[in-house]
Amino acid sequence: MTGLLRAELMRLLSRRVLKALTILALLGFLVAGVVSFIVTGRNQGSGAAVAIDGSAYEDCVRSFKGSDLPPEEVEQICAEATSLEDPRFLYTDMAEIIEGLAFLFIMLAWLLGSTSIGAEWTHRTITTLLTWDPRRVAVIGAKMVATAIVTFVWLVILEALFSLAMLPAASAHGSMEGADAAWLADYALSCLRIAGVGVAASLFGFSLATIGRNTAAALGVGFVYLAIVESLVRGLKPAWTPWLVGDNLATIIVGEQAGAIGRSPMESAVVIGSYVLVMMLLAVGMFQRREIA
Amino acid sequence: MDVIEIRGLRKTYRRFRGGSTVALDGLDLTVGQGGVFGLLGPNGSGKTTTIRCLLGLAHASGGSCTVLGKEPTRGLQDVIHRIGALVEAPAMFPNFSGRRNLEILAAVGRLPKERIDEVLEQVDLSARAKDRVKTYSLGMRQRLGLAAALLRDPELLILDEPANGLDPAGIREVRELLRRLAAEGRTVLVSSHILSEIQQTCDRVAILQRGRCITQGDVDDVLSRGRKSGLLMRIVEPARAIDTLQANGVSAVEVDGLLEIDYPSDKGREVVQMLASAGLYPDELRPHQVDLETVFLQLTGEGADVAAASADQNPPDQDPGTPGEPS
Repeated sequence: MTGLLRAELMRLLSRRVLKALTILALLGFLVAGVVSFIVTGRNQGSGAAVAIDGSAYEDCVRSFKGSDLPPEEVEQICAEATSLEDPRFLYTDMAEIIEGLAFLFIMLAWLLGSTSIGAEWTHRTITTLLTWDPRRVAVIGAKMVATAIVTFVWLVILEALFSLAMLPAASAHGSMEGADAAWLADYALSCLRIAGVGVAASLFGFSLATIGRNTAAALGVGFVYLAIVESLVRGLKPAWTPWLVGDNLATIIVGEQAGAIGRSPMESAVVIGSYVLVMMLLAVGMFQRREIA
Repeated sequence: MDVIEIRGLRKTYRRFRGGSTVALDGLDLTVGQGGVFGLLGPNGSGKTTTIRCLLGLAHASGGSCTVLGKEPTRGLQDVIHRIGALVEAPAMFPNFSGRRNLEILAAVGRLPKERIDEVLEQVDLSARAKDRVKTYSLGMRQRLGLAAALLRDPELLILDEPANGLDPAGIREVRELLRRLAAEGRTVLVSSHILSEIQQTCDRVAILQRGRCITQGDVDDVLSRGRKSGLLMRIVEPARAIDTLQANGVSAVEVDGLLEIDYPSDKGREVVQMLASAGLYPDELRPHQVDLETVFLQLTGEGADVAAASADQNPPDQDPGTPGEPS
């Protein structure tokens, strides 16, 4: 098994698609970093960390005259109601930004997982491999483990690089305020959650490509299911929403009970994990029985 | 001990729209230890299916087979490290270099990297080892497939059409390589539809037709099961020569300007004497060797594709009875 795993890791790390996707992602991060740097440079010096619309605030306080509320509470309410968005780039916003980018990372992971086994079917290299090790469950199992490892590490590295790409804009033109150790730990956890969801997407794509014996099958089925089937179900059968992949993924990524599905991130992780496990078992079962050309 | 033993092997492929195709129909085959064993048969005769069943890539519908004493469905993993295989066209990653492809396989088998250099040298691919496989010619890919099969230094080689796509020089190299491997004590099972290849490379042969083995044994024995050998003669007056021979009780016919004489090939002197007595002297006299193609066609009553493939391997000006050494 270790030989199979080592071979598969070697193969995955040598793949052009991994290199190409990494270069594309890095280029994207670079552009995002440069654009952020330029845009935040324009906003530099445009105000304090928390700006308040002065006249609106005065109007607000006046409107509370005669009310029973204590003045401190009125001030707080009005300050919140009339506060302007801080124009500076706060590095602590990265948590929301990375969650917004989660969809991109998940798609990359799906693509990576699908192509990793799809290429084997296309080039018939699976036949060659089985003449070296006929234990089909071990062969496909090693491939799944290697795909999961590579996807996870790859996504964590991409997230770290993206975080670094945005650092100059925040430190030079924005603010690192609040980006302390506690925030960093939370942020790291968000990144790990996204990488974990990426692994699930990767294994889902891998399993579909194993069943369909090509990459296109996995990508096609994934697109049709997520973009069409889940949208229809959400509209026609709202009661089924807690069981939909998209909503559960969103809950895991955000890290708190999100939307109307009423699940905790851990519960959603169990749901997604179960789906992935079923798909993997199906893929292994079919691979074991299949005639290899 | 027999290296490969196949008894009543059946393989039926079900079609999507009902019905089925019988690829192997009770195949019996025994491959002993050492030497080169040829699986000969036209396309669709079951050669590749047999190999796929032996390697556990296809599941037999009935019968049994063992490779190095193990059934493919059970225990093949115990002996797989002693087997090198090439199934149909070599399947490699086209965007990886030849070396990288071998490195991945070597990692599966936990083989040292030095072994990769050795096999690359063996198949004469060292100079192009770092190039991507997609830039390789068909023959180079075939040689890379052979390198992969040899990587584990196997005692049993199972090669499906290893000469496919090779130029004449490449075919000769493969033939010499297989002979050399057999001389080292290994067993080589090689399938081909090219008769001359089997005849020149193999010690033993099995002829397959429609999923059955119609004959097997030493190549010489199988050849002897064909038409009796006779004599071939070139002479200026063939019609008179035929009359003279018939007058002596010897039958002869003219085919493509040559007389085919039904007489023991080691008694050419007697034929010459008969003709000389009538004032006829042959320009050329040689044994009419029976080749595997003749035997094959006699046994199967088909094999147009085999004959064509064989003709491709032999220059048109050569006698089909003496397959020429490709140069």
